[in-house]
Amino acid sequence: MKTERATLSSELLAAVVREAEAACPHECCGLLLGQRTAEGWQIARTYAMRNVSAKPELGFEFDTREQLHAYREAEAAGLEIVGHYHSHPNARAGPSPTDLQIARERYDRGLWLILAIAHGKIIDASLWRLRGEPGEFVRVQLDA
Amino acid sequence: MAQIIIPSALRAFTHQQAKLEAAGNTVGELLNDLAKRFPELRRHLFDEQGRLRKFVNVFVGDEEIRSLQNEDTPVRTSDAVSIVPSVAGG
Repeated sequence: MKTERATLSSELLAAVVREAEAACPHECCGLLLGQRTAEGWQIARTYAMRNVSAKPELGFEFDTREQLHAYREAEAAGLEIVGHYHSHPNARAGPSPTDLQIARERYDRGLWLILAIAHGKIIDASLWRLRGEPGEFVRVQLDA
Repeated sequence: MAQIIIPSALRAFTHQQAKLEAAGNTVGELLNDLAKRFPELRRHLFDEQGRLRKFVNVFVGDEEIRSLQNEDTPVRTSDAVSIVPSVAGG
């Protein structure tokens, strides 16, 4: 399986990391906007979303109305929703079993940027995408 | 015909089309028309009993259909109908 690549500027990544650290002990979450080209994914913008999960220290969930507005903003900016990001304040690097279950159930095959936080500080940032059937998360090369 | 806005995640089943027109007077009729034309889309919209999946949200304009009349929500030809999949994780 060919390794996929994605670009994300170091400034955008730093901003998401700050957001994840500030949200701790809750998970932060947001959308990744950009486009897919023959060379890979280009993440041009991030869009912070409220985490409306009933247990935000254990999971994340978007508010669908806010999501609709984000979709419209992306379209107006000529960008596509290419994925989303969230943090793991429990220091887990990479997708959790819950991430896998939900991604399979909802056919969520966009990019998943996952930020692992330990004691309020970033320890890992990695990009993933569900591939195959029923689907396994495969790492995407992140060029920041 | 009303316009349906397809989220990125489901465009793999609509030949990458982001906006489609569909026939029907209600949201349910529109979505079923879409599923007939794009059969692979059906299982991502409806469960085995033919009900809209719980993580599939549909807006008519700015209003989510669960706060209206669910799949019986009437749709006018001037309406934009948006499919918004719930995004969550752990």
